[in-house]
Amino acid sequence: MTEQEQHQNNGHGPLRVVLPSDGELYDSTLSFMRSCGLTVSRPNARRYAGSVPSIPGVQVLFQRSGDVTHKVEEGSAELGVTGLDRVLEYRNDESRAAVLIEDLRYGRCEFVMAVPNSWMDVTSLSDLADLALEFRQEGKQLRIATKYPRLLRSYLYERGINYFTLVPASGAMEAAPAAGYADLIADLTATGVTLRENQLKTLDEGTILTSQACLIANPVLLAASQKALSLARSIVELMEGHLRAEPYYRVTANVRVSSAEEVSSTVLARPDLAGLRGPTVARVYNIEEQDWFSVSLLIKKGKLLEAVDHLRDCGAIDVAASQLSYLFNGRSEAYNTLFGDETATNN
Amino acid sequence: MTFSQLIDMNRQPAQSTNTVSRLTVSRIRGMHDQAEDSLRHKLDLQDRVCQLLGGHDYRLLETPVLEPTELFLRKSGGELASQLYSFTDAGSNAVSLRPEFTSPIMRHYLENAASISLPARWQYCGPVFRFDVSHPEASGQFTQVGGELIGSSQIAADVELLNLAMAVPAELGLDGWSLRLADLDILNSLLDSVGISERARSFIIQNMPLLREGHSAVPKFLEEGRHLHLVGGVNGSLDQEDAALRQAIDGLNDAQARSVLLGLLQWNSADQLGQRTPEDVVKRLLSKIRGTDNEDKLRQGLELASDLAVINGEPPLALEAVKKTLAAAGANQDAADRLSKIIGLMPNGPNAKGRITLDFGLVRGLAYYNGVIFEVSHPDWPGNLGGGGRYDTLSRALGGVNAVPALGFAYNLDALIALGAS
Repeated sequence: MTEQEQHQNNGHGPLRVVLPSDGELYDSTLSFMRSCGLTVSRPNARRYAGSVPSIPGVQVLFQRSGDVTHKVEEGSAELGVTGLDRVLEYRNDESRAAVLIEDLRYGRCEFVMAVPNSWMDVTSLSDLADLALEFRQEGKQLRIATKYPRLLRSYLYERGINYFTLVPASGAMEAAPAAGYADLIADLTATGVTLRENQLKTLDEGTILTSQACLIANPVLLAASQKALSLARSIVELMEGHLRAEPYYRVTANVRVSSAEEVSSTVLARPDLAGLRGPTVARVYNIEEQDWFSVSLLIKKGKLLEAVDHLRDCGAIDVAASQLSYLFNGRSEAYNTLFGDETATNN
Repeated sequence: MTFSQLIDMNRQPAQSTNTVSRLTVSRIRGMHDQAEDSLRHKLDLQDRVCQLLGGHDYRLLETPVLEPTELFLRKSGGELASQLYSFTDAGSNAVSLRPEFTSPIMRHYLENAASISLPARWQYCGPVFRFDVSHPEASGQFTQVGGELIGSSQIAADVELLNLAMAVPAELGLDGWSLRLADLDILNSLLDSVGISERARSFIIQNMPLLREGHSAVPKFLEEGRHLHLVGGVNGSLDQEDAALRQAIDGLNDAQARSVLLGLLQWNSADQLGQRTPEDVVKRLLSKIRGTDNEDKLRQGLELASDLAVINGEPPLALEAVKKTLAAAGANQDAADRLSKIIGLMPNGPNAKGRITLDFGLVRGLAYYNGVIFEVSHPDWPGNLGGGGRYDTLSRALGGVNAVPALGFAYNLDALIALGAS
C-alpha cells in the first residue's frame, strides 16, 4: 500500500476484521480461518494485530470475544467473528452490526438456567415461575447469577416471570448457589459437566439460546468503501464456500460400459447417491480403446460407503474420494440477504 | 434485509459514514420534539382539563419523574417490569422513569397520611415513559392527564370518577369514543362460589380476555393449569421424577409424606438451598405432587368465568345476564346490585348515551384492581385512550398499614390530540 492509499484509508488497512483473542474461541477461530484458506498471520502472541497473507489489504485485530460486537458496531472494524450469544447480548437495539453468517459451525454452546439439585420440587421453567411468585409473597426475590442479563431478562419477561434480581457475575458462577450469593444461575455450557459437578441441574424449557460462532459486519462502513466491500466479499465467499463444501466428499470412479447414457441411468437409479444434481460422466481415452467412462459425484459424508457400494454395483473400479475444499453457489447467500443484488457486479 | 434498507435504518447518507465521529446523534425511538404551535395547543388542552377537574375539587400534584423501581413492581405484581425504563443510578439504587401516576400519588398519600384528610382528590399531568417492544407505536414518552380520588368506598365516588372520566373527551370536543366497563368484584363473587385457591383465581382472572371465546376455550386453559401444577391428584400431569416420588408417598398422609420427602432431600444433598429451607422445598414438592386444587374445581371456575367473560353489551341487558349467571352459580349478588346502582346514577345525556358497554372479558392486566374497571377507546386509535378503576388494595401493596379505598383514571393526552381534540 502506498503512503497515499494509506492516507485515504485513515491510517488503517482497507478492511479490518476483529477476531476473539481469548478463550476457546481464539484457537477454534484461527483453525476455522485456516480451513477457509484465510490463514491468519500474527507476528507474535503479544501483538493484537495480524494479517491474512492470502488476501492483501485485510487487517486482523484481536479483541476479547465480548468486545467484538462493540468494535464492529462503533466502526473500529468492518467484519468480526464472535459467539452469537455475545452478539445478541451486547448489540445495541438499533445496531449497526448485522449478522452475515449466523452459524460458522464451531464454538457451540447453550445458554441455560440451572438450579441446585436439592430443589427437588423444581424441574421446569413453570416451576420457577411459580417459585418466583411464592418468593414474592414472602417478601423475597429470586436471585439469578448471570453474565448475560439482557438475554436472560427478556427470556424471563416473555414467559411472565417478572419478580427476580439479577446478580452480575463473570466467572465460575457455578459456585454462586453454594457460596450463597445467588439462588440459581444462567450460564453457558457446552457439555453440562461443570454444572453437574457443582450439583446443579438444568430446567425443562430452561434453554435460553443455542449459540455458536458467527460472522458479523458493519454494513454502513462497508458501503462507504468499495475496496472494503470487495475484500469483505472475498472473505464471505471463502467462508460460505468452505461451509457448504464441508458436508461432502468428491467421489470419482471409472466404469466400463458402452455409453455415457448407460452410466448415468444406472447411477441415477439411486437418486440419493447420485450427487447434488446427478453424476458428471466423461469418456476416458485409453490405449486399449475400450469403453471406459469416468463418473464424478458429490456425496454426503455419512453416505460415502453406501455410495461406493452403489458405484461398484454399477460396475465401477478405481473409486477415489477426496475432501472438498469449497463449494460455491451461483451467488453468495450472505451477500444476497444483506446487500441485495446490487453488489453482484461490483467485483 | 437489503443494504438500502439498512442504510435507511441508520438514517445516514452513505458518504458521511466513513468514520464514527461523523455520525450524528438522533432522537431515541418513541421520544419526540415538540415545536411551539403544537406545544401551545397541548398546553391549552392541558389547561382545560385542569380547569375541568379543578372545578370538582381535584388539586394539582406533581410527583418526581424518577422513582424507586420497587414502587412500580409492587403495584403491578411485576407485570410492568418489562416496560420500565429502568436503571441503576450512580449510587447503586434501582430507579425507573414513571410509567404512570397512580402509584406515585398513592406513595405521596402514604408518606403524608398524617396531614391529609380524606377523601383526597388529586389531578396530574405530565410525561410518562414505557418501553414496549411488542407495541412500538405505544412505546416511549407520552403525556398522561388524570385524577385520583382516595379515601372513599361509596357508590357516589365511583359515579363521580366515571362521570369525570367521560367529561374529559367531551370537554375536548372529541366524538366517536366509547367506554367499556367491568367489575372485578362480580368475577370474584362468582369464583368464591366455587372455592378455589388464590393462585387458580389469579390464573383465571389473567385469562379473562381469552375466555371471551366461551366454554370452547376451557379445555385449553385446563391443560395450561395442569402444566402450571395448579391441579394435582390423579389427573395432574407430572414428569417422570415426580411420578416416582408420588409412588413413594402413595397411601401416606401429608405429615408422613412430608417426613419421607424430607429424609430423601437430606440424603440427597441439602447443603445448597439458597434462601429456601428444606421444609419450603418439601412443602412445595408435596403440593406439586398432590395438587392444591382438584381438576373439577378449576374446570368449574373456568366455565363460570367464561360464562361471565362472554357478556358484552348495553348495560341493562348485560346486567340482567350477569345476575342470571350469578344466580345459576348460587353466588352472592351484592357486587352486581352495586354496579346496577352505579350505572343507574350515571347521567344519560347526549355525552353519555350509547357510549357505555359492559364487557366482562375486560381485566386491565394490573394485579391491584378490584371493583369497577374501565377503558376508553376510539376506532381510529390502536390502543386505549385511557382507563381506570378502583384499587382498594394498592395502599397495602405499597406498605400502608390499612387498606385505603381509592379510584382513578388517566388519559393519554397525545392520543386525544392525535384524534383531533381541540
